[in-house]
This record gives sequence, C-alpha cells and structure tokens, in this order.
Amino acid sequence: MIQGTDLIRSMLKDIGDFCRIKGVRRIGDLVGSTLGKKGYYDRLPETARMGVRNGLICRTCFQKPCIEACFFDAIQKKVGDGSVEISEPCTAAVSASR
Amino acid sequence: MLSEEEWAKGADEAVSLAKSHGVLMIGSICASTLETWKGMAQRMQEKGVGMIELNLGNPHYTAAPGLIGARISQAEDLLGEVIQTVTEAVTIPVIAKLSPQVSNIVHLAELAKRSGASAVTLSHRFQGLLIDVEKKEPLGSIPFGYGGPWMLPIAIGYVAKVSQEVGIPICGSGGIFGGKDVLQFLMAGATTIQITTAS
Repeated sequence: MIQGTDLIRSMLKDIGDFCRIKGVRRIGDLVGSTLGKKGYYDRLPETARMGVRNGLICRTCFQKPCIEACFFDAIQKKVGDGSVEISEPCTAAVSASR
Repeated sequence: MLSEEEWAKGADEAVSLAKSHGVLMIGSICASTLETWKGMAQRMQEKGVGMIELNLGNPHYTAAPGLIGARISQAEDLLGEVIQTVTEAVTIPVIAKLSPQVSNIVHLAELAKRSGASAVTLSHRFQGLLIDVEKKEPLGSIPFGYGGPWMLPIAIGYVAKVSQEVGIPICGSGGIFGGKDVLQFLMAGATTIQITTAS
C-alpha cells in the first residue's frame, strides 16, 4: 500500500467536487486563474498590488476586502469552449461600484 | 544507507510500478559533490526515470560538508553550477527544488531557468530549532526541517510571484493538508503539487 493513498483519494474527491460545482471542466483552467492571468494584477498601482498580496483586497474585483462568494462568482464565468477565465470584474464588484 | 545493488533493485521496481499504472516517475536527488549530482542523475535516466528533481534546499544538511542542502539555494554560483552540470549530463527534464529561506525567490527561479531547469518546486521546508526546556536539549537534529499548515500562505505566495514574473512551470509544495490547499496552489500558478508530511 502506498502511504497517503486515502489522503490523496480524499483530496482528489474534494477537487473533483469543486470543479463540478463551479463548472470547471479542466484542472488546467484553474492554473494561474487567481492572479494576473488577464493582466488585471499588472495594471494595478503598487499599493493595490500590495493589498492583493496581503489579502486585503479581493483578488478578483480588486475593489474591496475579499469575500469567498465574490471570488467564486468570477471563477464560474465561462468562455466559448466551456473553459473558465477571469476576464471581467465579478458580479459583486460591479454591484459595489454602482 | 542503501547499497548500490539495493538502490538499483528499488529503482527498477519503482519505475516498473509507475509505468504499469501509466504514471511518470520523478526521481529526487540530493548529493554532495558535482560528480555525484551528475552521476546520480545519469543513473536515474538509465533506469527509465522520466524527470529528475534536484533537492537544492534540504534544510537538514546545512551542517554537513560539501555541495549539499539549503546552502546551494542560498548561494547563486552553487545553484547555477549544480543545475547546469546536471542538465548538461541528461536529456530528461530537470526540476530545481528551492529553499524558502532565500532573499529573492524570483531571482533564484530565474537563475534556475537560465541554468537549464525545466521547472522549479516551491518550496522546501524551513530550517529551525525547538528546545525541550525540561531536558535543556534540542528537539530533533540541528538544524531541523520545519514545515506544516503554517507554511501554506508563504509557499502559495512564492508560487504566485514566480508564476507571474518568471514564466516557468512550478510544482507547489509546503503546507498541503487538503483538497482546497491544492486548489489554492493551482490557482496561484502551480501545475503540480507535492505532499509529504500529510501523507
């Protein structure tokens, strides 16, 4: 028996559940999805980047303290082929700016 | 300590088991001279190992003599020399596992990439010391390698920074104890992860 088999099986189940619930079809779509994938991070002023790095600002909308729902809403956005991307401010951020 | 024969037998069995399950075997090397770094890498390639990870940040070996342990990650010339020596000696991809106790992880990852590494692992455990106050003795060896859940934000932060600034495949490591920890590493930019303590 390989050590840790049960743990790895449990982790894979959790990851699989997350992807299914959030509509993520490929694990690869998650890679690098949080920071800077579409250039948002790089366009921020340094003070804002510091806020993101320290968890004071939402990594998705960059406008307010991060809340899980805000982040996950953005993750669910899909593009043509069913993959996911963070290309626009999340719904919660848009509501807040209005 | 394994004999040469025992190592060869174990390597054959491990590679065979991995191949029978369609899994890529990644061999890990921790040596103490350039010749042994190179020789071990070549032996692994001969055995059919698919990739090699260079353990360039082992916290336990700082007190040992030679080109070994975290001191390699903490000295740019040594890091570049070890990686270049190995990558020139083998044709399979080489991964550099770095110590977290460095002044600039981005700079080191760039150096690893320039020296021929195909990927980096971020990161190894920290060196530390705990003392049994009743016995007035150190707990464990000196220095001891410390990791655990507390290390998760540090390791994920490193992955995010290197992912954005260096552009090299990253294996995330440090503080993983559940599926959501893995998800965080992936979202930060890691393409693979390692688990040791939790398993």
